[in-house]
Amino acid sequence: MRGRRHLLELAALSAPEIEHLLDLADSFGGITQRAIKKVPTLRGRTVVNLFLEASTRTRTSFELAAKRLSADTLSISGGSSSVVKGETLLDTARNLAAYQPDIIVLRHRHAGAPHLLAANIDASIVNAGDGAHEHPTQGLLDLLTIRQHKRRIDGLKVAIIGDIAHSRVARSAIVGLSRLGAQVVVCGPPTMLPPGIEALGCTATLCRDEAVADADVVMMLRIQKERLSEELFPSDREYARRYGLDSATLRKAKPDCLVMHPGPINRGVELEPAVADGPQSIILDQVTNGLSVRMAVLYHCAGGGEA
Amino acid sequence: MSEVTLITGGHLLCPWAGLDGPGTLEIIDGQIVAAHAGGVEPGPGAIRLDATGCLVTPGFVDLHVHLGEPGFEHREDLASAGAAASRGGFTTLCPGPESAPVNDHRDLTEALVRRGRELSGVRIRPVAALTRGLRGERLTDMFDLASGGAVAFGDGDRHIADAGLLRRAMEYSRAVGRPLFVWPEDATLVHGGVMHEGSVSTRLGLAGIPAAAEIAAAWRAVVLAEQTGAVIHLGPISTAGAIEALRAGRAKGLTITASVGGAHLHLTDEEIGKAYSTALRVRPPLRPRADVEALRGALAEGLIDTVTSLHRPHSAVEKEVEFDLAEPGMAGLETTLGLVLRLVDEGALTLRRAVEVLTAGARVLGLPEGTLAPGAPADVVVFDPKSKVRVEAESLRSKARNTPFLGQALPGRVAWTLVGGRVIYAAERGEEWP
Repeated sequence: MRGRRHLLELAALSAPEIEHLLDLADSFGGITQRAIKKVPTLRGRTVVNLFLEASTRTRTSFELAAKRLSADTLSISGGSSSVVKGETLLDTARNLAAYQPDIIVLRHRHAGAPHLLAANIDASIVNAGDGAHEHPTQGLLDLLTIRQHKRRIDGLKVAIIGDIAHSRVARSAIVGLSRLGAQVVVCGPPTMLPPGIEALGCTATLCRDEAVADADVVMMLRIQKERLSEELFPSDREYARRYGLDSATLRKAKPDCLVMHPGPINRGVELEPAVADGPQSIILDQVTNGLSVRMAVLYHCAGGGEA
Repeated sequence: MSEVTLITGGHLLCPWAGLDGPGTLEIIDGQIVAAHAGGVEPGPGAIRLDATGCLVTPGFVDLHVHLGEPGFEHREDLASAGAAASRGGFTTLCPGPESAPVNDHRDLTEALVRRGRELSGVRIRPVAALTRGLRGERLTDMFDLASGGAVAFGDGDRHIADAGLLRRAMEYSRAVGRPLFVWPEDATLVHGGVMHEGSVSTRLGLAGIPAAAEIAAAWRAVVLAEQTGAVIHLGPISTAGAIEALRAGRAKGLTITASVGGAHLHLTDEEIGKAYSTALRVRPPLRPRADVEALRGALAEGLIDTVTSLHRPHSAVEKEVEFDLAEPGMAGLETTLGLVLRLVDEGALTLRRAVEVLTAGARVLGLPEGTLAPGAPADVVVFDPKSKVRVEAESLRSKARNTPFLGQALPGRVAWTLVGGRVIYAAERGEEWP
């Protein structure tokens, strides 16, 4: 609703707004290094984690972020909600809204679901992933992780490889990176490159080696077998050979190229284990940064800091 | 004693009867008797409707509507559909067969025609199912349904996957003498898509329906029409590619007519990007600007015959949900006249062509109405094309509110709607009439 701060998509944010959230996240990152990892910032505030699609890492990350800010949290996941009893998303949300939560964090399998809540529910809505649309906190944590390692985003070449069509992670990353000045190349088999993806601020190629050449960052996407309803590639073996990342391919990138993955990894499909666990991999930094990014987003949506 | 109605002072406009000028329309016992260039002195007992400042045209004919009844009365029923239609200037509605139960049986067709006229006030002329239960397997008893009042046959928006069956249906329909409606959309290419596939669907993360789903099905229908010599109606269409198929079929001399939804002549897929509004989830999906321009051109040039409301009423139950889960369709009976007149305002259509595309459905189906020629049933609409009407949830006569045009002012204020010479809608002068 009007007057509330939401985070529905990175596409709605300007470069300075994104930078501001990253700066906030950096400052919250310090808290995680302390012995006592809790601040009273959101004491008395209520955060509802409404996760209507299976999620482990994003849900735990948001829960921990809210707790570290001293907010009261209420977590509802797909299995335990009334949605399985046939209640609509809006009815579920209206019932939760009756408790006057400050923030509802929504994970949902349908694109645009957070927009539906934002238009109808009196709470700040944070998108924790909606269908194949966006996953803005993932996008922010990717940006933060790259910025920490490279000290900048502007001018970097970033390759994003995999199932671009079904990936909300890719959409948020493309939008965020291009807005901050990176040169983004997406790559995948033609069945996984959606039409008009360039409009988000990237170029597209079918050739993995071309995408990886001289890259500063390679971001591998998860093959989400559970979401694919049709045949988009012949076999895992063929996919791994043409679009997976192995050590030999990685050598075509810049020597200090970073390797990222939103997890969970299909080892041996999109990432060779040696690369996933190798020195260039910053996958676990992504997880750590996820926490500070989500603290920053909750703080921002609750009205903290300058917009 | 004869019942005489005179519509005086208006501008008579009917391309089919060759009328375009001021005059008086004389109606006796439900039939149009004459169009007089000047005034006519009303005899005793004659009803006189003053149409000063208005156009007097044939009532509009809509080839693709859903009435809600039977089966979905919470969305619409015959009475509310008739109320909405008459306010929008429509006097003949052709409901598709996707009711519950499906209209694949003569009893239901007859009941729709009879009860429809009683409860709605307008003429209900059903398009009956082509296959039993819309299952795409066995043909319905087409002669029997035609005797019961079916004006055409088709499986609504269901794709007939079996091309061999479609071929036989087209052949058979020649004997029945009714056109076959083909809704061009190949379901295997739709594959769960919910909007046009393109840069907007990609940005929004919504599954796309490629234009090829429509184009492939349109070409298949044209090729089979050539093979069989059937009379077919292609529509609604929404892509430049389907227009090419239509053009090729016409060039070969095939009897193919086509229709387009009123909203598809204005809205693009970009609109969905603003807020995932489920009012914009429609079939066929809204397309990019280039397709909209192609549709406008094909309509102006006469390649596309008629504009339909594609009226698909829905309640909040079907629409206040995630975009993926929303039922497709928008209510259109009360906005189509305005959308067509907006094309006139934008210079895309002449006023004469606007009236033609709203009434050509009668020619597509070979109906007696839809013209002001002497001897035709007096289905007439009197409207002021300059005056604007705001689309407001409170004033819609349909039960449904699923229109993306809420809050907009659309041109065309209907003053009177007559069916068979009887006034079924009269704008109240205080509220509706300036």
